[in-house]
Amino acid sequence: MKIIVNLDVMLAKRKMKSNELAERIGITAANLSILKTGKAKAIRFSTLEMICEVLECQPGDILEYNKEDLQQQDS
Amino acid sequence: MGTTKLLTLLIDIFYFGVILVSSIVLIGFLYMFFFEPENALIYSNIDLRNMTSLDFALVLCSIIATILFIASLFYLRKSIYRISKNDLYHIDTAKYLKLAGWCIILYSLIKNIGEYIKLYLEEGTITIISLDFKGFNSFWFIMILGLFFQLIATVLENGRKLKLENDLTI
Repeated sequence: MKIIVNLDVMLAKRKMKSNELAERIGITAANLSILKTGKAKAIRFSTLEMICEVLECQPGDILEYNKEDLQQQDS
Repeated sequence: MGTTKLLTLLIDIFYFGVILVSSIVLIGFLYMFFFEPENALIYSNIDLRNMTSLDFALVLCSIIATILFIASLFYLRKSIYRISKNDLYHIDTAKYLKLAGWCIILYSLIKNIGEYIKLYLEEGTITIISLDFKGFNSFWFIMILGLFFQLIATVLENGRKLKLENDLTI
């Protein structure tokens, strides 16, 4: 997947656990795990907004586009 | 009784009924073949002990068509079973419907070949295929039915992919 979700990094910075984040943004721990492990196909803006609000960060702090991953896939 | 359960029951009755009738016919024929061979005739005039190549082809077409018909009912039963378990978007549902569709298409082709052979044996000529709708047993109707099942299978498969994508949307 070319889009990487850096939730673990932000959770560590804010000293927050996954379960707590899931509860505060209103999704299940399982869904948060899907997001963290890169298995999610899409994320709703409403969910992204909630994550940014709770973690006090920008979308760019959580989402990263990996060009090298794309080039490796192409080769 | 729900619609799905009624449909499941009807298909089950049809499926086991066809198997039962086919088995009785086969057992009856085998009995006559071994114990009353002079009466063991297929289509009233084909003697299994003295068959031409066309007779053999006709018998083979009939057997294969029957097997394909039973196979199509078998796969239909399997997909209806999945649907009755509220598992419409399971990967097997579309797969079994597609297989049922292929069995129906092949059944219509082979049955039609058998009918042409039978016509040739009886009348000595072959009539060019026509587009007339001769009832629900006609080649075109059965072929379209098979294609329809293929279409439904494709729709279900696409629906399954959309559902999977939706399930993985957080």
